[in-house]
Amino acid sequence: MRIIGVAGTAKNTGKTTTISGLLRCVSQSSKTKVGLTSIGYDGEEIDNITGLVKPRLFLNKGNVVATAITLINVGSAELKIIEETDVFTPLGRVIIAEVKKDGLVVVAGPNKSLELKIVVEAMLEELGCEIVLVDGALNRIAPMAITDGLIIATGAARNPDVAELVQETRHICDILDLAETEESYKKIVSDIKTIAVINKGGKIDTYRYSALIHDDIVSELRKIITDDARAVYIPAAVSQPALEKLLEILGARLSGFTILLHDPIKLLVSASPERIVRTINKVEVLKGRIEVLKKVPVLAVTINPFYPRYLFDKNIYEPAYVDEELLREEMQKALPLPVVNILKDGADILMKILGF
Amino acid sequence: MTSQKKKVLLAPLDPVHDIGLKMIKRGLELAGHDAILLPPDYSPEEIIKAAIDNNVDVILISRTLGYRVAEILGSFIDLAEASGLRERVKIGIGGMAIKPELAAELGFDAGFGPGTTVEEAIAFVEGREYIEKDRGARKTKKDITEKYDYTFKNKRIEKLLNTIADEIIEYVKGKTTPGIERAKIREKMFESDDEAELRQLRKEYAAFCDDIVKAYYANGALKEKTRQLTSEELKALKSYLEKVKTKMKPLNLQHIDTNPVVFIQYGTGCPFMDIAHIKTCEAWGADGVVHFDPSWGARTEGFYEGFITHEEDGSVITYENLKLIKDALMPSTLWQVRAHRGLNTPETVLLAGKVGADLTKINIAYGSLGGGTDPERLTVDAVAAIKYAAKFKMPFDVVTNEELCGVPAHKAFAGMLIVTVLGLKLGARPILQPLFCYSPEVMINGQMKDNYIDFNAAKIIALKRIINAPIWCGAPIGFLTQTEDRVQSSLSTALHASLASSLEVDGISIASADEAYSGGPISAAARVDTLRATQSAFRFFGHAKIIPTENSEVWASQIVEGIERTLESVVKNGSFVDALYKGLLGSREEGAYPGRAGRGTVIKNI
Repeated sequence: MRIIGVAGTAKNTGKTTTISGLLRCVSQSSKTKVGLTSIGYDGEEIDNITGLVKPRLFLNKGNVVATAITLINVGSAELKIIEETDVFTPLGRVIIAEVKKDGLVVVAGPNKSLELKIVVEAMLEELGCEIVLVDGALNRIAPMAITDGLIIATGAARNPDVAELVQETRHICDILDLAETEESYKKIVSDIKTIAVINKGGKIDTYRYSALIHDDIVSELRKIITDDARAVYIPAAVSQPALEKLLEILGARLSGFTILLHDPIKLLVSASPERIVRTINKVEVLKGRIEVLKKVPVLAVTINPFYPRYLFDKNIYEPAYVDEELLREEMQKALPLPVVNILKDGADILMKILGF
Repeated sequence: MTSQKKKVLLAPLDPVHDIGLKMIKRGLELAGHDAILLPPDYSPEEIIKAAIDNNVDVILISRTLGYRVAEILGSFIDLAEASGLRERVKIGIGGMAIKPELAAELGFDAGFGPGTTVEEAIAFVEGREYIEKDRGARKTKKDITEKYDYTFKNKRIEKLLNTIADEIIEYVKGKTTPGIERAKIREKMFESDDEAELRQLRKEYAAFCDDIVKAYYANGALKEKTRQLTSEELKALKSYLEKVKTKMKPLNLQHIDTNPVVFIQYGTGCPFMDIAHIKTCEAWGADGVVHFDPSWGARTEGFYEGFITHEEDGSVITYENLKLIKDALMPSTLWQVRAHRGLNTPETVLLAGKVGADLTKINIAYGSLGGGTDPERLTVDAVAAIKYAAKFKMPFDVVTNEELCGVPAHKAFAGMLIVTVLGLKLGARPILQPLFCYSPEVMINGQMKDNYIDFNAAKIIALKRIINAPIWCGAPIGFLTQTEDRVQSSLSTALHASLASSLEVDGISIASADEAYSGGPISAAARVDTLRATQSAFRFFGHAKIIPTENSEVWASQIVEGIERTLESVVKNGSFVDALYKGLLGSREEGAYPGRAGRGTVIKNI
């Protein structure tokens, strides 16, 4: 497992704290060469949106970072550019640099899957990183589809109601844990780029859209789903309302039918996890299946009791906290995964999971 | 059109706002691209479907940022990515709160915040690398004397001025001063790299200095509250400048070509602090900066050497200090080092010229009637200083700050015009700098009882009737109309700037919003106040004019007549220097006192 993403459910849920904890542990306990990049913008002192102070990213000498060229002198770390990539961000071209002197870095790396893959592979293959940490941004998760495993950072900043937060996290983990499909299906759809209906006997009907995100697309799709249809493959995004519409069309035919997605993130981005899980459950009740070509395993969940409380009368945010013990207990009860509060527990448990 | 035709989807991911997108749509169509503007309030799914159905190359989203909107935009980008759009479609975001950092965090390919031009959005659409343009590089240094030939429209005044200027040139022949001698020695120092010779030259230099400067050349001692900057401080300055350079995206204050260039004044006492003020002002659009020296420096014979800071107003003039500041300036920034008063006038101009200043400031009448220097001494020094200004091709302004003492405009202008013609005869390029504010003269006589426009306009009209020369309103404009209220001060500055622009002057000097009442060092934020206010005022008026009442014409005629009368009295008196002592260019009753610093120091018969 060499590409690890840290995805947050919202701002201020502890992505940067988790990454910082991992970086600190790696530098203390081993000589592992770590690569770091971000699908957003991270490492700044003050949050771009709330104006509150943020944790910062510290890298040791010898480690590698992929960031926008305009940011290489912003932090205190001394960086030597090793490679200028052809990937661009709003802050300029992404470069890959080696840390020559320990210090803080500000990171804005590739923000889409394809480009993230190119840059991360260069960090692994050409620069010899043993592991690359991909820092998330806001609630964004789509580019994380290329990682080998995810750490989900959640906390009161997402929802200060502990019960609701725990339930939502459970739902996220359940969606990401959708079953991987059988090899035969993987083989059939390996070269297909658009929505495709797989019929009895292996006949495949393709359709011009690749994403199932609108009622109109579902209505058109209906025309090519015959009684012979056994599965439908959707390589791009699937919106929960469109999926509901598909279920409606399929009706009783869903029994024994497979809805095949490229990866669970293609569904996760489309609606609230609760609604998505409700739809998944409906598929199961109707004896259908939702499966994925590629899983994105969740390795652990980190929790953060902090949240920025908005004061309407003053038009500012102030720091606030939920009951940390309650949050941890409830989360642990609900999840079959390690639950870690990095600020209290450190990142040692995560290190073990990652094999260090 | 410079690139392949693109299809662009413009989508306001917003309940109502789409004005920016409408402007961009027009720009894109003019540039030959196809632009599809969606109605407001489409869902992310609908926008993405529209992008797929129309096979677009680029999506531009606009959104006003507010509570939880960042998450909404993040979700949109996620859905676009999961839908497979991002491999072939570029997505940009625009809105009032959008910065490149935020666009990166939200996952967009580009971010367009306030001040984004349609051209920038088109460049993004056309696939040209999105790097914010170095606006500083687009700014060019302006020579405000360039379009003037200094021809006189009032021939009577020209004749009187020629007579007086010739008399001055004749008067200074065979005379020198400690200030001139020090400048000559300093010139030799610049030419020598022999340590022994330099030691000897420093000894000779010290002999022409006051005791507090002699002490420095004898044992390195500096006056109280004054010290050398440490090597750590100099290192920190270097590092500060390197960081600032990467962040500089200077604004332009001017909206139309005829808006004047805008100068700010600095002199915090510390070169490092000065540079921080300068960089702030450059970033917010200042075109030029003016170096203020300490008042004790003007009354002290001789300069220190080295990187010197002190805890008083005004920044110490040394070659090293000036070099620090010069090296910190953007190439487009006009830089003036003032030499208009005091006992070091020739050497100040020499140092300014050697370091590479663009402008200097020399005025015998103000320096000797309001600046504290002996009229004879400053007359002799000023001729030498003007010669240096000519040698280094540095235009100099002739400021009429004696008006602030109470000298009426027509007398101050007579003094200004005398030094102007003297400058022309010595091969320099002078700039008229009338006071553009609420002066004691009008407080007493009531010309600004109704408005601040008429009398300021009268001054400019009068000068334009006399000579075709550059005019730079000083210093600072609106002085004594500003209060401790920063909003009021900024507005007053902006209105004076607008009036100056309407009168088609070439330059203005503005104060910070807290300059008159700061009670200590002025703040960077207050500098930004007046620069922003001035920029807004220029934008507001464009080519529209402020129309003064008929009083301005009447007063302009009175000023011209007053100038003529004053010059006649000086010619009749026979000696310019004597006229200064006698009060012909500003009397004791009017608040002008011939200065005493350097009295009796002119060395004759050399």
